[in-house]
Amino acid sequence: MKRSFECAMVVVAAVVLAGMVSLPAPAQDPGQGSSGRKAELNSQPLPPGGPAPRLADGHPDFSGVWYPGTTGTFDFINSPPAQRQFDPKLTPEERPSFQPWAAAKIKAMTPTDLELGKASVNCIPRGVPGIFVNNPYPIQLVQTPGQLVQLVELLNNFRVIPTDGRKHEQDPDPTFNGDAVGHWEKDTLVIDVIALDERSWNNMTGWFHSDQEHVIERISRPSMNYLIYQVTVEDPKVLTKPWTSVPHKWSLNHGKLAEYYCTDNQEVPQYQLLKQEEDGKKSK
Amino acid sequence: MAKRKVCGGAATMITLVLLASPLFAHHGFTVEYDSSNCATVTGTLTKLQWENPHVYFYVDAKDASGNPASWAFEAVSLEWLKRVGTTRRDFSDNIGKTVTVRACMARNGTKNRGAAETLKLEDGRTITVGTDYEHPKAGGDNN
Repeated sequence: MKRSFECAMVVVAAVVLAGMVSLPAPAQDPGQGSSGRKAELNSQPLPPGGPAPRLADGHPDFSGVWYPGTTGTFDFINSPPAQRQFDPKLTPEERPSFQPWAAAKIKAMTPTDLELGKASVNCIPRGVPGIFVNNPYPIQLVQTPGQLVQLVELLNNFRVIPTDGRKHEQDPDPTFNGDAVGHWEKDTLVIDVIALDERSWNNMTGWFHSDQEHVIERISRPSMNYLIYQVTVEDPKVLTKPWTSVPHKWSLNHGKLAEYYCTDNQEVPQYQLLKQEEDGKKSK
Repeated sequence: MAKRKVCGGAATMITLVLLASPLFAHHGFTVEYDSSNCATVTGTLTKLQWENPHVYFYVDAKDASGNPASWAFEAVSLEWLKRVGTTRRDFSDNIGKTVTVRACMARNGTKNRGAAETLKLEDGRTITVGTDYEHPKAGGDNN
C-alpha cells in the first residue's frame, strides 16, 4: 500500500514538473504589438454589444467583418484561448465517425502525407465548411434581402448564397464552395451545400470527403458582436453517421479585409523533400 | 524492487511525453521544422519576399568555420505580420544592415533554412515575425 502511494506520488510529481516546464509565457498587454508598435490585438472576449441589426425584411443582418473566436482579432504572438471558436472543455466536439476503410486510409497517412493534403500547404480554398471551421483568417459578410455574399480574405475567395429558399441547380459541377442555397428558419439562416470539390478536407487531420458530401450550415447573430456558426456534415460513403459541430463563435471587427494571394508557395517542395526521405527510409 | 523500477519508468515516460508533445503546436511546423533545434543567427539582411503564404527573408552570415553561409528564413503571412505591428518597411529599410534572427531549423536536411520567431534590428528593436515555436500556446492556429 505504502509503495503504491509512493509510486503514485512520483508519477504526480512528474506530471506537475512537466506541466511547469511547458507553461506558456504570460500574455502581453492587449494592443501591444511587435516591438511595442500599436496593433489590432485583443486577448479578451468582446461583450455582446447590444442587439443584432436587422434588414428591412426583418431578418437579422449578418453584414460585417468577422474573425474566428471571441476577440474580434487574431493574435499569433499571444494566441489567447479566447481566440478559439469554442472551448473544448465547455463544449467538447465529437469526432467524426468514419467508415472502416476511411479510418484506415487516414490512419495510414504519415505526418508528411497530412501536410501534403492540407489546403493551407497547397494554397487551395478551404471548401465548405472549412471556410468557417478551418480558417484563422477573417471573412466579410455582405447581406442584402435575398442574398448573402461571403468574402474570404484567405486566397481572396468569395461565395454568393441565395437566401430566398430556391432549390439547388440540376447536377451542378463540383466546386470548392459547392452549390449553396439558403432559407430562413426564424432568425437562423440555413444553407444547404452540395457538389463540393473533393480536394478540400474538413479539418487539418485528414478528414477527406466524397462527392456525396452534403453540408448543412446554420448561421445566427445573437448580438451585435457575435456570429454563431454550426454545421452538419453528411457523407454516407466516408462517415457512418452525420457529424454535427458544436456552436462556433465568430466576433465582429471594424477593420477591413486584406488582399491575400498565394504567389510564392515554398511549402510543397519542402514537404516533397521530406516525403522522399520518408519513402527512402521505408524501403530500406 | 521491480515495482519501483516500473514506477520510475512510468514517471519518466510521462515526463518525456508531456515535454515532447506540446498540445497546441502549429500544425505543419513540427513536421517541417524542429522546435528543439533553434538557434540565433547574425548576419546581413540581403533580400525580402513580401508574399503569401509566408514572407521569406534572407541573411548572409558565416558558419562556425567562418565561411559564408546564406540563410533563408520563413515568417508568417504578411496579413498577420501587419496586424501585430510588423511592417514591410521593418524589413526593407534594413536590407544591407546587420540583423539577428532567432529561428528553428528545417528538418529535411536543408541547411541554413529556418522558421523565424524574432528579428532584432540594428536600431535595437526586436520585431516579431513568427510564433514562439519553442513555447507554443493555446488558441493558435497558424494555418
